[in-house]
Amino acid sequence: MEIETSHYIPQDLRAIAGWEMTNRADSGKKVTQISKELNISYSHLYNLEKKYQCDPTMADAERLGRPPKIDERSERRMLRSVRTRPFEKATVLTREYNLGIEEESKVSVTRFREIACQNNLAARRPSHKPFLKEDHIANRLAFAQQYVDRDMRFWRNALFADESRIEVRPSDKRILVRRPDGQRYSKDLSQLGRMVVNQQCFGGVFRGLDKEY
Amino acid sequence: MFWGCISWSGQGVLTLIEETLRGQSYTDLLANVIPEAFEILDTQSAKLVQDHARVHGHHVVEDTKYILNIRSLESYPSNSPKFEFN
Repeated sequence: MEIETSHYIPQDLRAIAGWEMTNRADSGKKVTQISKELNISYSHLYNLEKKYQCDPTMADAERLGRPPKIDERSERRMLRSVRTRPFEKATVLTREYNLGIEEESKVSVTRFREIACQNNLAARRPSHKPFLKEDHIANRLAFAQQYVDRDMRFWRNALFADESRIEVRPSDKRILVRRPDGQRYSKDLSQLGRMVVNQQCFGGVFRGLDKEY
Repeated sequence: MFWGCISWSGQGVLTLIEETLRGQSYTDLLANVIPEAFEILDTQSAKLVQDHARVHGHHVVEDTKYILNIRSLESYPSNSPKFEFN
């Protein structure tokens, strides 16, 4: 009979199993009976018995290699910093995380990003951005301040020129699809039909022209 | 595509462009259009106010500007940002 056992058996359960196995002559339990109760395979129980006789606490043996830098508490600290400022760069957040920490437990940027991604806090790009950036505003202000004192003698000479593209036929640009709120990325194109009808009506205004450009 | 200009003294010229504007075609356009516009607007020289489209700053254009007695306005801010409305 096979008993499904989990890969990792907790320390308390191991200690109980070891105690039961060493004292099974007194209590009169069989090995199979113990394995059924504790859900551990009976071949493994003999190993646990040996270990119990050496060390009754049944603690984990020390392992080789570098201990992990990030424990649960420091991971929580990282995630909190990401949640409070979701649009901040990972480099900045990592620099702030590493500020008051010892040299050994400092984290790299890639590791920081990895942990954030594992907890479903991957990077996002905003769908709406401000139209005028700081450079634009500064340029406009500089232009206005330069020419604010000029009078009509200066502006009489100015020639305002521009090109513009005019489409008479239905436009070859991307089609604007109006959607109700909250359905921006939905693939349902039932709203598209209404838009095309509007466009054809609008195109009819221009049909009296001789040429079409 | 249309090219047009206005100034203090009134409307200038409106011309049709059938091909996409490159450096050479833009200089040809200016050479044709600007003297006509000067006649209509009754001036000898002008400060050209343009958004900074790619052709406007082409290196071929500078010489023709000098010949036609035009110069462009200094530190004019770049293309107006798109104001889209939903």
